Amino acid sequence: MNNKQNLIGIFFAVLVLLPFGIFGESAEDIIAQVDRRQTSDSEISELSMTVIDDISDMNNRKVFRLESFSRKGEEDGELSVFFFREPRRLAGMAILSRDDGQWVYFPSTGRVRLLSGAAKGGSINGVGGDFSYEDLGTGNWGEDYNFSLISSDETLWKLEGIPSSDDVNYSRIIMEIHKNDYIPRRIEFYKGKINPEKIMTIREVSAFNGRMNPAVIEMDNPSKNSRTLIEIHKMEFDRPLNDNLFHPRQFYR
Amino acid sequence: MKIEKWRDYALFLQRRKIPLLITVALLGILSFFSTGSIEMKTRIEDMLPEDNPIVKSYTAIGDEFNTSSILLTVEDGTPEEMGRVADELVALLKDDHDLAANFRAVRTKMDRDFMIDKGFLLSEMEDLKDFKNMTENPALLPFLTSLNDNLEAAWLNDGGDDINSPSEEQDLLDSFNQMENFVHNITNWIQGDERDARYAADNLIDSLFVGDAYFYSPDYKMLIIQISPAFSIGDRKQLSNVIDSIKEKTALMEKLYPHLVFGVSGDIAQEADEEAALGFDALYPALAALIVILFLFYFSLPSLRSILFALIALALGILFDLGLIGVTIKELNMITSSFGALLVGLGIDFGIHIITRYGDSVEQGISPVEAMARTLKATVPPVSIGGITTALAFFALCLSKTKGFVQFGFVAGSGILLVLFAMFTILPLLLLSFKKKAVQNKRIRISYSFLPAWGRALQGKAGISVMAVLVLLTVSAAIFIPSISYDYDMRHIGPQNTPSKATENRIMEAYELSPFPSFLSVNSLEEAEEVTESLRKKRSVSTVSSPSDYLPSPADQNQRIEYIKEWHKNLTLPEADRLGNDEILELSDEVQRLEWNVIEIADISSVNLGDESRIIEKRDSMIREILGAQAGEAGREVFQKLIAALNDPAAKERINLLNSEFQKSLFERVTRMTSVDSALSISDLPQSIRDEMISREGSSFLITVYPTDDIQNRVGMFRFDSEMLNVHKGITGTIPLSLALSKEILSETGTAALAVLAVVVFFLLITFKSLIKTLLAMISLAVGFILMIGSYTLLGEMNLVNILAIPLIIGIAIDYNVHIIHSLDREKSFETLMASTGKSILLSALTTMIGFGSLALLGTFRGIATLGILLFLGTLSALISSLIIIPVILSRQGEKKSGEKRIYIQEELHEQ
Repeated sequence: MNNKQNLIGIFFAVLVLLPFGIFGESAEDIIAQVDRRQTSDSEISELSMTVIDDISDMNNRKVFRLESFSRKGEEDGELSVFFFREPRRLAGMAILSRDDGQWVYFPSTGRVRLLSGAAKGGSINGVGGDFSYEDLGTGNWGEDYNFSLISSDETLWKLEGIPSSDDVNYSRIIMEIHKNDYIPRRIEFYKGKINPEKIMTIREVSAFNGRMNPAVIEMDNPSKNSRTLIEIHKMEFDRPLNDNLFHPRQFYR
Repeated sequence: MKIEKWRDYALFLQRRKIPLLITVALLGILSFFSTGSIEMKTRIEDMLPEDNPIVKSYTAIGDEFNTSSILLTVEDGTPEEMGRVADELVALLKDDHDLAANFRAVRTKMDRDFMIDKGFLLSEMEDLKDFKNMTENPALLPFLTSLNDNLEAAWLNDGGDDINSPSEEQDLLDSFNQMENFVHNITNWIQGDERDARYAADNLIDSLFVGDAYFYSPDYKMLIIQISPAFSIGDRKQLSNVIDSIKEKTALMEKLYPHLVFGVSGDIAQEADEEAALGFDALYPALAALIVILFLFYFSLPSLRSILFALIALALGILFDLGLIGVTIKELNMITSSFGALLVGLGIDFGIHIITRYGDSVEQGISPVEAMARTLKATVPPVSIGGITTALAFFALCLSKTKGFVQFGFVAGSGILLVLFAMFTILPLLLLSFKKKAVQNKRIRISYSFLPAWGRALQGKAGISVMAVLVLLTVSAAIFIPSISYDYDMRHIGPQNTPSKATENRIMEAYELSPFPSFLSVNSLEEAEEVTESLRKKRSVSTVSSPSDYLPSPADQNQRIEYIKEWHKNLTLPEADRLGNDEILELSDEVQRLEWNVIEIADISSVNLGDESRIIEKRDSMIREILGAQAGEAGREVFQKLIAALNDPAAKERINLLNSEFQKSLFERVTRMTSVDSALSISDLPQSIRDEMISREGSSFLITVYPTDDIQNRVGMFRFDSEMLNVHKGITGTIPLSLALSKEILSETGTAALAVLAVVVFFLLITFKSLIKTLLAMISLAVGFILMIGSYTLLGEMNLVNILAIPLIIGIAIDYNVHIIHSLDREKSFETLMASTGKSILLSALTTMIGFGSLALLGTFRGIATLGILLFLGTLSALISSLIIIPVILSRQGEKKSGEKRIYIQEELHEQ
């Protein structure tokens, strides 16, 4: 092997090894950090959700103001309930989600209805706009997907996630995570191979109760030409929440 | 050309006046006869290339189906009264046999027998199963219980069927209407309706299985009668006569029922209103303009006779152009039909230059022939340069791909050349043939002495100040230009304050749909079904009327027939149970459950549709305004009224009577509806449906798509167009055609403007032989153009009609600038330039502004009125820029000196 060949060999070795030296952390480490920082014992938030059915008609929008409570269930599951505060017509309507079902409470009639078929990938009659339960699924990325690192720059890691569970509705996701806070800034959700089905962008990150969290989240759905914007106004973590809050009987009081 | 040549020409005109006048008259007569072969084409498709897919589809549909309609409305009565009055109105229309001969079909209601006999074949399997469940025990209590179970299963238990499109919203709305009618009819009966129980029971069942008897609006405040005409929409005389006769009948009904409102709309009525408006626009603005112009000329020009001759020459020039159209393209469309106004605007300017100068010369005592020779020598070069430049600019439009533009370029270009020809031949011939006797003219005349003063002022400091103000104005106007918008909706071009338009607006409001549908012709029912399903999911679609709704696929029909036959075989009428107090209480509970279901379904639908949807509006009107746990404004409380009626102990007997008849009637109805043994074919369809949806040859099927009322705004219109294109490229109609034409014109406007500009610059360079003069003319043109568009941005939008102002204003502005520049070579001072050429330009501009101003003020066609506004501003801008820019710049170059006498007359006298 002459000197020239040696140089080429070194050059390729540097090219191959360089990313590992620069990236430092593996994809699993990064996503574990993302999940860890999104996980809490409980969350209380006040948020508004703006649903734009057609982004060429930005004036035509529906705005909901919601109050949301969630915490870990007894057996690893998630318990959540959110109440509509606005618009006035829906004020007081609540949607309760537990592992054993979902319930809707209608203040207009005082009745509670058990929903039999609300799927993980869907939303109840459009509640959530372009967000499905799965898109918002916090702290479970590592369980649902196998991630690999695609690239890295000074501020962001770019990861690709391939589903590891049958419960997942997407064929892959591409996630860009900020190196400072491990909060994703952009997630592309794919069903086909080329164009993303949905694109989630974190527009703003703020400190709530001393903890950094997405404050403005935008979800674009290019195939429907729609957009949903979630703005979090207030958020509290790890406050004890009573079991009754997550039981349908609370609505019968 | 030397003065001698012009003198020879003037003498020739004077000596050969008789044969020349006869020749002119003969040419006029020939042209007049040639106009007979011109066809007026008023439809949008006439302006687009025939190979455009939307045009091809539209033409094919027009050949195969009758898509025109007359819509009559009855409004502001109770549903029952409006139905009765609608029947009376239809009878009145049909009694007039001459009028009725113009109708192919009149539809006031659904064909009840067809819906009963074939209704189950048209229902989805899922719905059939629901019907079967609901009618297993046909008494009121089990029926209502089953109805509630089905509602909850369909709308609530699975998180609800997603209601995303207006079409799905309409389906839910129809269900709410059926429920309201059902509950309302039971309440009426219990509370003492005098009709017999069987009749009441039949009504109840009709409200559930047949739906509304008439085409009511969702709020039941309007009813529509649809008439298919037996004549084409192109038959303008016929459509006006028919609409007039219909209006006579509705006026008669208004007298009989003064508390009701009657309306006439649809494309036929709108065409009739537009025809009337066209007649108004063609006469009254022109008359008003003529009167004002005559006043202006009377006080400005020495001879009214010369004005008349200029008008005759102009009219003959236009007639020659019409004659040329008659032997060449043989048609006029919405764009080219404005050529008359254009030629009047430009052509009269040519004439004014001639008669002003000729009149001045004659007044100075110069002989008519000599005066004419000098006039022609002075005016032919600049007028020709201006005219030919404008004509070439119009001819440049012939390079466009848009049929409307090409034809407009040819008609306007040739028109200008022919008017120019008439002004240089016929006008001098008339002036020399019918000379004015020398009489003392005692009229008070405007001296226009301010013009020389203006010319003088421009050379001083005032010139700089005026220029600075103009620059400031131009920069301000340029800032506004990017915000100019284009109105793509062709329906905004027509008259807006017509009775048919008012009715159309009320229909849009009441039905939340546009009465201007789009169409698709398909060759198979399978394709119709597939396309219909896609269309109904679209947000911009309100209603789809499809043959697949009436002729399901053979496979679907066979599956249904099998199910229906089995159902029919097992039908048994259970023994009638008498309703005791407990059962009546249970019935009352089921009514309450029904109310709650309606409330919750509306609540959950509002997440998707918003809280101002038709569903919410309907729920709040039939129950009460519901704001979460709070109640708002009162509604009709249809469910609570029934609950109260059921709880009245005195009503027990009547409830039982109704229950018993309901049971029998429903059993009989189900027996009849399940007596189906063969599949539906085209021949089974009611005539009105066949007429609407099946082609004359029976080989193709028509799908009609009604957009939501969102198409009134641009975003909604584009959404509808793009959704239609996604579903099928062949979907056509007013909206797709309108957008196709607008897009084509907008994409061509840039290219056309560049071509026009290139032609203008090239021709000016050749004629002026000076880069500076060409540049000056172009700067003045650009400033005028910026001022026009910038100022118009504050007043309105561009549209298909007023976009034509762009080439026209280029022609007008070039004309003014060429005159100024040309006169500078002849005139020795700016004072004299302003006194002669300035006066001609001012008079021309005032004439044009009065003409277009009258259209702006009096025109009922919004497109024409906006064209008038734009051209008024354009002419004013061209006048300002031409009378400021060139004089101020050139006076600074020292090319002309102030104070010199005008000497060209003396020079020319020397030439004699």
